[in-house]
Amino acid sequence: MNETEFHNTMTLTKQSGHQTHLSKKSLYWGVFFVFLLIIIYSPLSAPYGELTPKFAGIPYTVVMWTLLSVICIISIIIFALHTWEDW
Amino acid sequence: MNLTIAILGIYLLICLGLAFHGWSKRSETLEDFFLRKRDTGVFIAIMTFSATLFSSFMLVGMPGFFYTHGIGSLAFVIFADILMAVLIFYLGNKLWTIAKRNNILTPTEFIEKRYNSKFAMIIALTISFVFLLPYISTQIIGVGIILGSFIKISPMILSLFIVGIIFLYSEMGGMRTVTWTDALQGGLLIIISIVIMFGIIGHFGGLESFFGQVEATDANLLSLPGPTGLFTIPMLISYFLMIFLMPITQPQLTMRYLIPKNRKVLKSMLIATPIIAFLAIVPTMFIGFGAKIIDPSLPSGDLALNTVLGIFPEIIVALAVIGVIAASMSTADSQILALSSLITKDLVKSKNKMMIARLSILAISILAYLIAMNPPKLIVTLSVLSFAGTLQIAPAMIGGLYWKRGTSHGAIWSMVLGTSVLVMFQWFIKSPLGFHAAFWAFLVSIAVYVGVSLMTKEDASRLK
Repeated sequence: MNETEFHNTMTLTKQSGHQTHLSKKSLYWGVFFVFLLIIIYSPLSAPYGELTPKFAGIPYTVVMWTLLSVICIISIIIFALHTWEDW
Repeated sequence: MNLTIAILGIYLLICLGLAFHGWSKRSETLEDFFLRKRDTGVFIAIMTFSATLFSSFMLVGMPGFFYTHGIGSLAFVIFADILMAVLIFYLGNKLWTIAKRNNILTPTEFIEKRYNSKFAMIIALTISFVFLLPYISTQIIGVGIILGSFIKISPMILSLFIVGIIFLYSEMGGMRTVTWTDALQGGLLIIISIVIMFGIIGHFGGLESFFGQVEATDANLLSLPGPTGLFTIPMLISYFLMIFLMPITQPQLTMRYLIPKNRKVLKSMLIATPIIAFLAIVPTMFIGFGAKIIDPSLPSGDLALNTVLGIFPEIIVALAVIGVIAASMSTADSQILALSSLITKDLVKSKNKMMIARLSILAISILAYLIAMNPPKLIVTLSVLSFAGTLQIAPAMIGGLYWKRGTSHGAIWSMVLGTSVLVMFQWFIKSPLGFHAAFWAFLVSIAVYVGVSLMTKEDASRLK
């Protein structure tokens, strides 16, 4: 797919002269979020089929998933600010 | 009990007050009735999206999941609810633009205009109805179960009373009143959930002691796949997909993409909704596990909230009851209004559309109540089926937004075959490799959408 076709495919709509399209920046963010998901559902965050070890008395899975939830929230805030002009 | 009734009375009076205020501001146009003239500001937009998302499933179903299936319940919902915010950028922004320019009020109207096909719209509308009505009923059941355990009146009579209130304020002020009550109900739900969470942690002597007692009760609760073996990784991925795509597959949420007055409101929703999701979901873990420590042999996980409320003073119990009712009402009213909008705008031809809108709200309320009269054992089961069913609309919606080559034939066949595969794997053949039936149905739906679209001619889209 050449750049023009790519642009045609991804171009959204025009409104009042405002052109919105999925910029490379937002596509990279999309890849980042998929990467986050892979970590979330991998044995790294949730050891499967074993009794969960503890971290400061709290189950490792609870710690990891809570931490990853916070990372997701912070990432979304940065994403929103970073793509602010792309809307 | 008297305190519960008193607080419930105050809460319902506030809802009715908002209904009368909405009635005084009405303008008898469909755009105002269903989308409040697309003039919603930041606070109301954020709260109505969150309140619509968090149904009684949040305070009744989710603790039940933790109680029965363990820690996997956290990953089952929290990441999907947080990450769905990014859809506001990738899908909501574009849908908002197109809907505003083409005066589109409903997601099925978008499908009709995008594919220039009434048949595609009817298929999407049918799927929405078949899978949403049971979901509305689950809200009604949720109210009945909780209220009935505190007020000694038949749960179905209590449910009927609540349905009556929802009907009244939806009828009077449409989306305007519904969003106002959503803001009230969403705020109540989150504050109460957090108060209960800290109460439970305190009661069991801190986090370390709490999780120690959970482990002593049933160590399998703290690991995957959980005591019942439900939360395998394929199943978690399946649930993620179903919940993550809800804003584009469930009309009551999709319509929240259409009501903001400008893009700044959408951006604010993107930032705020994941924080609210986190604050609403984490407490449900403590409710479910807390109930397990108190009574490991409840007949149903749905009773987890009732069980932990035993350790709280009456005022908290009363507020928690109101929280559940608020959660149920805020989702049910949005769903009833969304289904009514589909009927009014897309299905029925009439000169007096406002009358159709009001009559359809009445009809849907009655129908949902009739379904609720024969309630299932676990509320979540029906809700999850609702997510699975409407998921099959996603390829037609997303493809319609992004892929110019997507055709009406592709959209129709993807919805029909996706739903057929869902039914097949849900009821007749065991779903392969441990994934939920919805996962395979969704893959088939995508493949059919792409394949059939490439084999058929492009439609003349009616979108400007």
